[in-house]
Amino acid sequence: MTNYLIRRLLWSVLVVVGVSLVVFFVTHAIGDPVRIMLPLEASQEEYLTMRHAWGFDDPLYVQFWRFAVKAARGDFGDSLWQRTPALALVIDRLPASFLLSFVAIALAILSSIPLGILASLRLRSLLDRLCVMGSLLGVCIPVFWLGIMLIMFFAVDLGWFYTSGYGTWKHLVLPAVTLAALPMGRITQIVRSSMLDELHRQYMTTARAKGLAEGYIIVRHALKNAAIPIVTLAAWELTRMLAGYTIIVEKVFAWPGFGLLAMQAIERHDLPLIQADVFVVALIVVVLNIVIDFVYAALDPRVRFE
Amino acid sequence: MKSSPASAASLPRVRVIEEEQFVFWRNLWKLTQYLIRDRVALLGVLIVLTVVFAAVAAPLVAPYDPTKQNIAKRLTPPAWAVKGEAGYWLGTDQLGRDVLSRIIYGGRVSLTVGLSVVAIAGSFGILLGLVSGYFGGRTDDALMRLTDIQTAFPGLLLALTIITMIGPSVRNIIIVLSINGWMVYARITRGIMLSLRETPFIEAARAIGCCDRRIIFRHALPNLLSPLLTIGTLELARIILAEASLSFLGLGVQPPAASWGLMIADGHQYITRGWWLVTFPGLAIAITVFGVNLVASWLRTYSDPTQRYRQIRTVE
Repeated sequence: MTNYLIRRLLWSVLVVVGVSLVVFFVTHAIGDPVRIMLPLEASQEEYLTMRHAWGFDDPLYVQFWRFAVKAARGDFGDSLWQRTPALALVIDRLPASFLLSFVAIALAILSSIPLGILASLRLRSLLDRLCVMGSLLGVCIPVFWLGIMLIMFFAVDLGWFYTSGYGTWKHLVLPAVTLAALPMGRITQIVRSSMLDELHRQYMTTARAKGLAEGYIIVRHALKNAAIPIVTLAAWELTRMLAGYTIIVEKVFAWPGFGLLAMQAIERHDLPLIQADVFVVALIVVVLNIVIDFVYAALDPRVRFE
Repeated sequence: MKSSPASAASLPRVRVIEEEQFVFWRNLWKLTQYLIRDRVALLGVLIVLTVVFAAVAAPLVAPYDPTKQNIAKRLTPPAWAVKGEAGYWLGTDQLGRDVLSRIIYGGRVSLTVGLSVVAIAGSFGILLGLVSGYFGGRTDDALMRLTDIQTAFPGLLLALTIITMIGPSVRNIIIVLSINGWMVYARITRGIMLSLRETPFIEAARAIGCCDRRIIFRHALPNLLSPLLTIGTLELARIILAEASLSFLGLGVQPPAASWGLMIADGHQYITRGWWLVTFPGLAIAITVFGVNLVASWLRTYSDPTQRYRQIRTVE
């Protein structure tokens, strides 16, 4: 157990180091970082001054060593745009992104489990067909388009919610639903198919023969055994959200999380801020993967760490 | 059939080729028959063919020049809606450009990016997967570690960072999406190659003295084609969506050129005055991806012998 944990942590550290390496080379070796950060009308003199001041005229390995030493201490330099430490800016935005993602994944799981169970119990019914259709649509609809369509209908036409911004629950509804809609379709599908696998097992017959209530059997016996693939997918969806979809949804709804911050940093060519943002997102993904491993072990006694 | 002044020695060879052609046409005919029976797959194929045709023949099909502005007619609703104007089937945008024409031209971008990325990422991933699956050992370990690391990457953010550095353009989108997309092929190819390596026919090929290259490309690769075709089609759908997202974020095709994602980004600012600006490009994306996905699921059934047998029996 301890052995596994140590190896897992070492591997995670390696992944995070790998990510920062790639980010360093992308931002330093491809293209000219100084040109990108300076305004277009900057003179040659200003260019050379900045190049020297930021140390971009040093050999690449010197620059990398400097970057690595600083990054290890969580220092990515000051944001060009806000003139304050970049990492602190990203961390300030974490609560908003976490709120959005966790509400969205909770919404997706809480709605897809009953839907999936009902669909598996009433095979080929209207509900079942709707679930299958829904999950197919979930693969085809671009998330940003869904967001704008929801804004058009519920915020502009009906006026129920706000079109964008942050603060009250009325701000949260539309972005959370947008983010939850597509995972919901996919999770419903997996709940349905893994429940179908379990419903005809022998232990179900045994449980029925003992005279247990049908609802109890379905939730306590079948659902518990079907949980592994469901948790796998839900975890994967949460990871994908934090590493990608949240960024797009935050952009659509002007939701002030790290995704919107990344987009703002990219629009302003703010390299330190971009580096800090990518680093934090990678860290979140890695930590999340470790947590998921432990959730598996808790759910399935057959899983043993080696 | 024309007779050719061929020598007697080359005659049998000619006949073999003719027979092969015949088999090809007969297979194509059978394929069409299955398609007609399978309504859902037919729908998918029709959608894909329509999109491909519209994209290839865009100058002939599109009613207007997609970049021609007409400020007098800006934000005209679709022809069939209230206050719509005949000729503008899907309305005009904030600069008076025809939305339908822009959607038709936008399809070119989606398909160019989609097909290029599938070709580039596909060939690279398959090659790597073949090599690491066949030889195993260190290469294999290194490759699997690499794909492990890359799956932990925040792909979208990294793509955005790279595009910021090298500048937004169609070519750069293709590069970035290829870098992000080759692992799927590598993993799947490697998996199948690992099990193929132990099969009798590969062993036989090795026994009669085939070199590794010949075994990999002439014996193993043909057996991989059908699963890879399915993956490639699924990836095409995914890439079309990814391109739309990058263009929506302003990092793809630059104005005044048209792309579906860019049109939605532009329309986003006019949602109170023109619902058609966002609705139709989004529908174009959704329907195209839907069609490609239907084709993929059909390919999966069709290339699986047991499933195909069930379908053939319903046809014959």
